[in-house]
Amino acid sequence: MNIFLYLDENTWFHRLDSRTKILGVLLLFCMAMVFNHPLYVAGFALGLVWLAAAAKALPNFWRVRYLLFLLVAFSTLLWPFFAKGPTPLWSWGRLQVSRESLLYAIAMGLRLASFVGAGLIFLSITTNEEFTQGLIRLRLPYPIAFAFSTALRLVPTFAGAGATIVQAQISRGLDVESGNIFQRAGKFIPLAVPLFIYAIRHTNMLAMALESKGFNPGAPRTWYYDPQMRRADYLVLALLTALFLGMLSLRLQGYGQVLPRL
Amino acid sequence: MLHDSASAIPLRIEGLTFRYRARPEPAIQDVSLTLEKGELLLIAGASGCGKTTLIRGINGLIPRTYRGDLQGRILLFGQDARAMSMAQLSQIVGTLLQDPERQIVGSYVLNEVAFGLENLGLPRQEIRERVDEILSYLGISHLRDRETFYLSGGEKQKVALAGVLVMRPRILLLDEPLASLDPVSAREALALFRRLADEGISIILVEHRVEDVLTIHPDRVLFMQDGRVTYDGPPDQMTEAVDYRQVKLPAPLTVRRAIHAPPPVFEPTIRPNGREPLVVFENVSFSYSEDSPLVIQDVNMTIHQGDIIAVLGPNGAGKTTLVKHAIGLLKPRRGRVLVEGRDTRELSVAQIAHTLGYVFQSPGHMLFAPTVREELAFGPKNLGFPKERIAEGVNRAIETVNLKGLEDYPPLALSFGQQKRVSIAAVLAMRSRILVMDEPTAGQDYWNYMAFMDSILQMPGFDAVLFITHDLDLAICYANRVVLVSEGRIAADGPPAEVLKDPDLLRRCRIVPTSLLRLNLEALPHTGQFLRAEALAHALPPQVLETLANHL
Repeated sequence: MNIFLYLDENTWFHRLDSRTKILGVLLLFCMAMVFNHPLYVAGFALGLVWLAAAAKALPNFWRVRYLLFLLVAFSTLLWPFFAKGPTPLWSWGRLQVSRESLLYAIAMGLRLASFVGAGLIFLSITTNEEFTQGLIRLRLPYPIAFAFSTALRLVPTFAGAGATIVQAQISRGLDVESGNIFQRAGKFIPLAVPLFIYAIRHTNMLAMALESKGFNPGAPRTWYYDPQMRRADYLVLALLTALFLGMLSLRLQGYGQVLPRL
Repeated sequence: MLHDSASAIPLRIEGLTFRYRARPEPAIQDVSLTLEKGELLLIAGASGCGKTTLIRGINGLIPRTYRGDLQGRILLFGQDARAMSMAQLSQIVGTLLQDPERQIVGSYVLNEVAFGLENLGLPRQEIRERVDEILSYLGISHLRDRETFYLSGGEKQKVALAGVLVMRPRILLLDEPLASLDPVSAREALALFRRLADEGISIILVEHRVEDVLTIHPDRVLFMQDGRVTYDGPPDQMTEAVDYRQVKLPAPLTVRRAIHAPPPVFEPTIRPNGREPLVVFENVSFSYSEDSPLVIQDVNMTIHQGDIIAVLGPNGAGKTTLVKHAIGLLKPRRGRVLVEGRDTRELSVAQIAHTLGYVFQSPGHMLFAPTVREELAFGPKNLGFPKERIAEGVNRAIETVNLKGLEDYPPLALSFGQQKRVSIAAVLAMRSRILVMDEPTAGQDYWNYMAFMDSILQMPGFDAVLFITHDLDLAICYANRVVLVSEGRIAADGPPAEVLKDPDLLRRCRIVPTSLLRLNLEALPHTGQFLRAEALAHALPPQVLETLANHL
């Protein structure tokens, strides 16, 4: 079982600097926000799929296919009731669905899927270490970056302990699957308490290990990793920025919108 | 002071006494010792003897992290340790904690090993060179880009050690480094420690598995008891001075000493009678997914009433996977497992719990309730027992595991051994017919786990017991049947005296013969069965004993 989404490939995208990856995914998020016409958003989403294929990240898309599908489906079903448009298609009492609101809904579904997709590509090509290192290079204070990377490092450890705890309590007859939500909440106590205690003990030991290696978050330090921004990195950032500005100006001229809102 | 530090003694402790702030009694009292360059010092003793406190004193966690009253002096190369910063200390003293899992900070081997040097702010080029150098020194260059989480126990320990050694400490503290390793990995680790000492690092090795450490010939042994040093001298004279029940000595030595003690009384309550089959494995194979490799394959085995089974094998052989099939936590991919005649696929884990009660390796994985009584009632309540029956079962369980008086204590506030007993009682209260234990000795010292096993097996209430272990001697002392697991298959199954007599088989299963096994094999014509060392001392005619002891 692998909890993280990183895929250990060696594509051109994997080799980008982590700063480029972080800024790049932020730009992709912004781009996803620009249009609200389903055709335009679909075009952007297709671009993302191409990007995912080039970065060999498609296996992760496959892993979350149900989530992506549900996002699009629910958004398409629900948004029409909240967005109002001028051309009514169907109405029932106070509920009303217009042509524009339906199109808007589809666009919103695709936009959400694009968000998830952009994030997935990022996580597929970035290790936790790179991510932290990138944050540090982008001037995030070291103690915060360290806490962040340690938290990431402990996720699989705690998940493993959690799985063992679940098995231990199931073998004592705990039935985690039946009952209503309140009964279920009560059943989490036998799982939560041991996990909590485990986490406290573990972090206590870790603190000692850190100290005995001379760790001092305030002191100046060096890094083994030495990421370098190369020409490809500047190229990618320039390209993405240009693309974003181009899309923005299209939208400001009135293209790619079904409703005059975000 | 600094100019003569190279010639000064690496470590000198003078009259060290320390009391933790929350405790009334000092944890160590008036401890004095010296450690020469390249010396390998073994510190032996049972839990609570003060070993860990001493280590924390040397590496500076006392008094910096642990507060309390500290008297006496610790001199590192002639300088008072208290005057040093943690960063300075960390370059002189390296500490390998007991559980490498909890010491590793980095997600990747590289990060982990480079971490200490990054803290010191060394230039990148130097970090690179030193990391590569230490990885190749320890023979783990191939792990360089691996994720630490997926390493085996032995690999994790080597990586943690690399992270310590890369800082070039001149003193290395090893706190029970063998605890989480199987015998083959333990032997490798010990050879490595010897090599480090031979190359000039002064080493303090804290361990209660004295027998294992003696194989690498420590230069000196220190025995601690109740916070005091009761022996400090060469290893060959130690055996007379230390308590053979507190630390694990080589079997012939134990035998020689135990002759003068009264014979041990050990009568397991479980007796082979009726031979009713309780659990049956039929051609069981398992893999985690359709296309991943088989973790266990073609297992055929029956657990009968009256069995005390030791499932023996190295780490990663599939022992735990095998046992999890019996308790229904895993279902076979091929074949079937029958519990009292019913296929586990048709049963819930709760239903199977009536037959098999599983005690996980660490009691911390299951204890949660505010009192011992509620903790014990949790299982039976889940199984839908009526109130009176729960109360009766809980009381009986408390009595059996000897926890009377602690019923209203929070289990998490008890000692490790007591917690272990609570976890057994929790199974007893469910009235499961078979007790299943995963590494019952893990986290306990020799004295405690022997006492623990003695009391569990002499306690009424179970029709059969099965335990997973990589400790060969545990199987010799307690099992009436050994199931040898190797690479997912059952390599042998039968009485200990039959299964364990084949040295080739043991080697193939990565099991290292112990002195107790050799002694038992020699004595077999006289005893007809395997016995613990104390029992051997009284089971053999004196002249036989003498020849055997000398022979070995």
